Amino acid sequence: MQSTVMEKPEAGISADHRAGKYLTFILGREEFAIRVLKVREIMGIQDVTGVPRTPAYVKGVINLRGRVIPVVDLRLKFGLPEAEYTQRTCIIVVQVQAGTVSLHTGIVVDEVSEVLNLAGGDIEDTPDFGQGAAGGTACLLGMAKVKGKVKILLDIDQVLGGQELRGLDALAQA
Amino acid sequence: MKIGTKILLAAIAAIGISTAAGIAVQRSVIRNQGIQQTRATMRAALIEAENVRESVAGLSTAGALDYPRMLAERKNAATLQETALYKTVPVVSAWKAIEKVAASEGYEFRIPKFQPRNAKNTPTAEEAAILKQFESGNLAEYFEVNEARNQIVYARPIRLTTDCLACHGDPATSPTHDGRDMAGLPMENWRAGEVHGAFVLKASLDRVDKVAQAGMKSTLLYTVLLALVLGVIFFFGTGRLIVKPLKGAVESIRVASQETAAASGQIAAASASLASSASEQAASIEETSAAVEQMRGSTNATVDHARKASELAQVSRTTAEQGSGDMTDLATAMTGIQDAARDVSRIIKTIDEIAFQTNLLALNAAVEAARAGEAGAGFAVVADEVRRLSRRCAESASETTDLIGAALERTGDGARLAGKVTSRLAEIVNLNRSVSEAVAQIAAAAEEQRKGISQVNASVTGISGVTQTLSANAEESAASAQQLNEQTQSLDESVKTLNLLVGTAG
Repeated sequence: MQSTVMEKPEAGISADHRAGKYLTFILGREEFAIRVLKVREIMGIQDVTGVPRTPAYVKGVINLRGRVIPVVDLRLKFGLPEAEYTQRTCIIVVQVQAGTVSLHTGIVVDEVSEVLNLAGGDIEDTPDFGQGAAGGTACLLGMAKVKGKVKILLDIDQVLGGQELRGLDALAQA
Repeated sequence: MKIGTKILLAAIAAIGISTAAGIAVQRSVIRNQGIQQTRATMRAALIEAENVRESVAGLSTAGALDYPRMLAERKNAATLQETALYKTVPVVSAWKAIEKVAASEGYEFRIPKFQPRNAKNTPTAEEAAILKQFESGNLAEYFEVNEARNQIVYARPIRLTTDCLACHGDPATSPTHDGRDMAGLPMENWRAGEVHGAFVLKASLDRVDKVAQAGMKSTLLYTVLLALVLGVIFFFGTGRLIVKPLKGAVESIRVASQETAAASGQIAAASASLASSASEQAASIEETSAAVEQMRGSTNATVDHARKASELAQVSRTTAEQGSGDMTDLATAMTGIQDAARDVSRIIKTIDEIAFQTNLLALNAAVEAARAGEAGAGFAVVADEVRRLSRRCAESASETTDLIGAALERTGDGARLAGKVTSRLAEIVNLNRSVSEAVAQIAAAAEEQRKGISQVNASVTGISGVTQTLSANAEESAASAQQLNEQTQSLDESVKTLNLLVGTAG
């Protein structure tokens, strides 16, 4: 039985702005993490209503307590092969900042792990993968080492940013 | 001695014997003839003498004789015998005639008489006997062949006639009245018809014998010549006509005898081998009989075993069927277990979902707590705890699921094994059926075998009988061959004898 340890946000030990609580989730074989503040809600997978004339990674929209939220398949966004939705598949509703607009988008992930409090010392910068990988690495905030595993810290704003999101938002607003 | 020689000798002997017989007969005949001839001659002489006597007597009676002259001469003569008177005595003329004949024929002439006037006429013993016969009976003649002296004796009695009485009659009638006859001799007073003396002629048979001998000699000579000729003829004749064919026949007999001996030897050998084969066969039959007995015993054992096996198969099938039934129950129970396990699984799944949802809620709570910042710190702790609980729950659920899975797996294995066992039992039942069928076939086959063995037994007994007969026949055959051999040997002996007879070597 785990003992209850009260964890307060560490302040002053590391000036790393990336420290903080992250929500980790699994995509394929990799574990990713996004800032907890970005997370609006976590829910299990449910039926997604498909929308025509949208990119492939845009699965469609869902009805969240009256609100219509677009859903993006993060696997497809990352170029991973599409996987079957299991009962562990979750939709994380994130709040994305695109310019001045704040959008709620759902991302389909394979599994949600936990909420982690990452210290600055745990976080490393993203290694340089060379010229070709520049586009991809921009989405990454860094790498965290937790219990021997490496979790990729995602900048969800970068991941989901872009014109298409405006279009999505417009769609959502409509 | 060769057969040719034998035949020759036989022929010669035949000739000799017949010649001897012939000669003997011839001699006898000649002798008889001689005797008869001599007798006839003697008889004729004596009868002629009697005739002379009668005629002289007749002359005297007829008075042709000059008695006075003769008497006168007598007185002057010294003896009576010189006188003519003497010559006129009929009996004297008779015996003078006989004397001539006797002289010419060589007979001995005797005139025996009891109390003769002439002493030389005294009869010998046999002459006396003859005289007695003449005097006693009416014997006209006496004929005897005296073998001791090889002599014929012929005699005729001198019967007085009346003219004899002139000199020998009643003395009262004496011419000189002195009881003497005219010659001066005393008259004996004999009567007419009395026998006084006999003329006896004796002839030796030597001459006859000589004739016979001469005849014999000539016969013998001719016969010897004939015998020689015949001998030569026979010698060559038998050689070609008899000995040669005999030799050929003997040779063929010898060859046949050899071949028969060889054949009989073969027969004996064949019989011996047949006898030994028969005894071998008898031994084999014994062995076969024993083997058949064994087979019968084992067949019976087989039938018993088959029966037992059938019963055991029956029991086994019943047990297998029972087992099958039990297996079905087991399968049902297992299915029940599986269903229960699945139900549990379902529930666990529900629990797992709840845990998941709880986890999500806890995460949401953590997120809200993080948003709330300081105010949500305690809430974050609570959320964390809830998350831990939910994790434990999820873990327990997952453990339970694993256990259930393992149990299900084991149950599945059990069910599979039960299925296997059921199928095995079904196989056992099938095999049982097959075994039962096979056993039934075995029993039937054993029954057939038993019948077959009975038949074989009967056949073997038959063969045994036949073999015994064969044995007996072989023995008989051997005995016959032995007899044949003996016969052949005796045939060989005969052939040898014949060979000696015929004159070939061996």
